[in-house]
Amino acid sequence: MSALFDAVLLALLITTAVTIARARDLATAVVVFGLYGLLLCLLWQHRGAPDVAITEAAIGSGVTTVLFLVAVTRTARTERR
Amino acid sequence: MRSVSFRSFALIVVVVLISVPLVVTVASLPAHGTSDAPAHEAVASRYVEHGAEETGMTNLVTAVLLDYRGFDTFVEVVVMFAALMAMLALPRGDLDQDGTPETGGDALTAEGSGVEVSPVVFYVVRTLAPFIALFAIAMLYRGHVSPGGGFQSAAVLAALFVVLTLVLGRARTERLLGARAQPWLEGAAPLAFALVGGAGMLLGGAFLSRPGHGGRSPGAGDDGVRAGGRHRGRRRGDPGPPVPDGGALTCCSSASTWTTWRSACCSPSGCT
Repeated sequence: MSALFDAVLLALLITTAVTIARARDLATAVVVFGLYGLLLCLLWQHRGAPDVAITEAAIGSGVTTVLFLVAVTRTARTERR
Repeated sequence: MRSVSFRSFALIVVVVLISVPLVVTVASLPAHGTSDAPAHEAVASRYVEHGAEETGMTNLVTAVLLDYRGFDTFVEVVVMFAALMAMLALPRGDLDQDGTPETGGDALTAEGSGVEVSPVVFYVVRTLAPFIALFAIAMLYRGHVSPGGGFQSAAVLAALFVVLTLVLGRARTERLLGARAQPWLEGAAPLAFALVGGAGMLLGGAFLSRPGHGGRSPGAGDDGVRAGGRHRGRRRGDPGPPVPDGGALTCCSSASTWTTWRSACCSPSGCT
């Protein structure tokens, strides 16, 4: 059960990472990035590293997402190709 | 044309000069994930076995951050401070000039950031802010026995201030913290660290040592030589006796050293 939980989390992590890389809409990429940080936080906690999980939730999922969102709002919404 | 080819040649030389030592060093490291790497065999088990008695700390993450690797943490603080100095050297008013003027009139516009903030975000952040601050303080206060501690607490608190600055605006956040106090607060971190370290020297020990712990300087315990001689004779790389199962510090030991290493289960109060 524990290994299954890890496997599901890892699969979701890879899915979100690919989604971020492929997203044309930068706001979508940023929001999925926040989800990625949250999943990573769950994985840290489940693997027995609560300290890293707290830091991941605060910095990786929280501040980075907000900073990216503001940056997207102030620049361009979609990626230019 | 000739200068271009010379530049690319010089670039190739520089890249080779940097990358070859890096590749050789990485190749000589123990293979990733091997259980008999020195980091797992000697270092981690030493922290788990003797961390509590050597440092007097119950949270072993704190023991590693502030005692065994205290110098590391100190220089990290200095690096953060240097990055901050670089940021402060940038012209400060730039953000405010092209965005909304800092009138402070419209409640739902983040002053100075030029970003329209939705009322939902505004009120949620404003309502949650005191609770987030309380969480950070509680984490700092309980950090010696539960997960968290200074680093995590400060990370949460800093995240709160970043979000407050972006959502409520810089003017309001500065009113909260005091614009004049900010540079002093920012400079206080490395200064306080250095002062605490220097106090250890004044009280008769080494830099960052604490009275009552054998005048040990950070990192000295890594060699297994400690005043009191309890661990004398243990060399670096000698893993020593295996960690007994069911001990106070290793109550959760099952799969790997890293599992026992975490702060939550390494507290003497038992497994959580």
